[in-house]
Amino acid sequence: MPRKSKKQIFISGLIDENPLLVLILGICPAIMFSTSAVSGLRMGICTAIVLTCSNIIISALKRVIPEQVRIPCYITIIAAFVTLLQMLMQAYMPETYEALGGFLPYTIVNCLVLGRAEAFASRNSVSDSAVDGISMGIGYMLTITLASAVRELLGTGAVFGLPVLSNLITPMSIFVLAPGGFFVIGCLIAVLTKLAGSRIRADKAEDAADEGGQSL
Amino acid sequence: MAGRKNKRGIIGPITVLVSICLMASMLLAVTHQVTMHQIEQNRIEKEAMDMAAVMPEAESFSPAGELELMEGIKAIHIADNGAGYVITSEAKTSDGTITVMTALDQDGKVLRSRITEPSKAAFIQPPAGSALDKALKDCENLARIQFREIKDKLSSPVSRAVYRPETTRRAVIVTEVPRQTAAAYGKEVRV
Repeated sequence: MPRKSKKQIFISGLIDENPLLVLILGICPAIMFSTSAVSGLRMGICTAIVLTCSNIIISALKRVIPEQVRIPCYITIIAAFVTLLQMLMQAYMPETYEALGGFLPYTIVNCLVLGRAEAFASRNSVSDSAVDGISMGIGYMLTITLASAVRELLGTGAVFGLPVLSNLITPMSIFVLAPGGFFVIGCLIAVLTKLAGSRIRADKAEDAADEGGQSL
Repeated sequence: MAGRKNKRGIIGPITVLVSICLMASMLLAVTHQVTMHQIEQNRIEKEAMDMAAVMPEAESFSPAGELELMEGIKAIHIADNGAGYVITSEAKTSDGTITVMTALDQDGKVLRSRITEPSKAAFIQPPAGSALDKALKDCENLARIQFREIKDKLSSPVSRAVYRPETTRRAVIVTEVPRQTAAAYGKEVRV
């Protein structure tokens, strides 16, 4: 299998392998935290930071960690990193900690972080793992923020706390609850599959045309 | 022979896992040592800011230690200029525990109250208005009941001696000290 360039790794994390909509990783925190755009964005930021840093450390230690105990080792590294980040933020960025503090511990059990450690960081170089962490983190953050904004808009008529549709529609509180979360994320998956499907078909058609031209 | 091989096969991974755990623990211990003072400083500053917000009439506060606090009461602070008291309490809501500071004047009348720490679950879904109002009311009532006890203790000559603002920066409420030792005790707590 040809090795992906850093640009390809970055793009795939955002769209082709979007963690939430394509790989279906990190659904539990996404449903739980996407009740408002602000909380979705905060959760996304926390996940992106932890994912990038844990990817780097796990990739650097991949030759040292034996196959049999890799999962406990990854969990230990991720948990240690989250706790470290929590302490540093509490000490030197108290305002940010106040805003993000409640979300940080949840990232330890986010299967996206463990999933990327297992699927990518343990098999690739440190720089590639860092790019993967950043792209997956940004992809997750954008998706969860979008899902949160839609849920908040339909559930309360506001986005980021600003009233947008308050007078136009009757807020449907089901969207703030878990079923609404599944519905919105399901719709986003459908939209991305449709868009990505048409893009893949266009790429295939281009390839076929190139092959046809070469054979002629 | 096979058993020995298995043992060797297990020892390697265990050693690596234990080493990683030890390294993580050491890293966290060092970080804790480095950040501990700053975190404590931030906590004190936040507490002071919260107390100033809930009782702007007072310039500084002294903690009241060695008191039998009721269940749900976390701390009691006394305004150094005699403006009143700030009682920190906890209340349970459907979304978790919240921390509330209640300011009371010298007569025990609630001046203001304020949530200083929202529940952890409030990060996900802030508690509904009525539940929060009820929790705040619970905290105010708890503070009032606690105040009655403090008032009794402050009315004794010993406590008054200990609580003179100019002498009590680090004073401790003493309830059962013999009357003749009150003056001596007052001198002891002078800072």
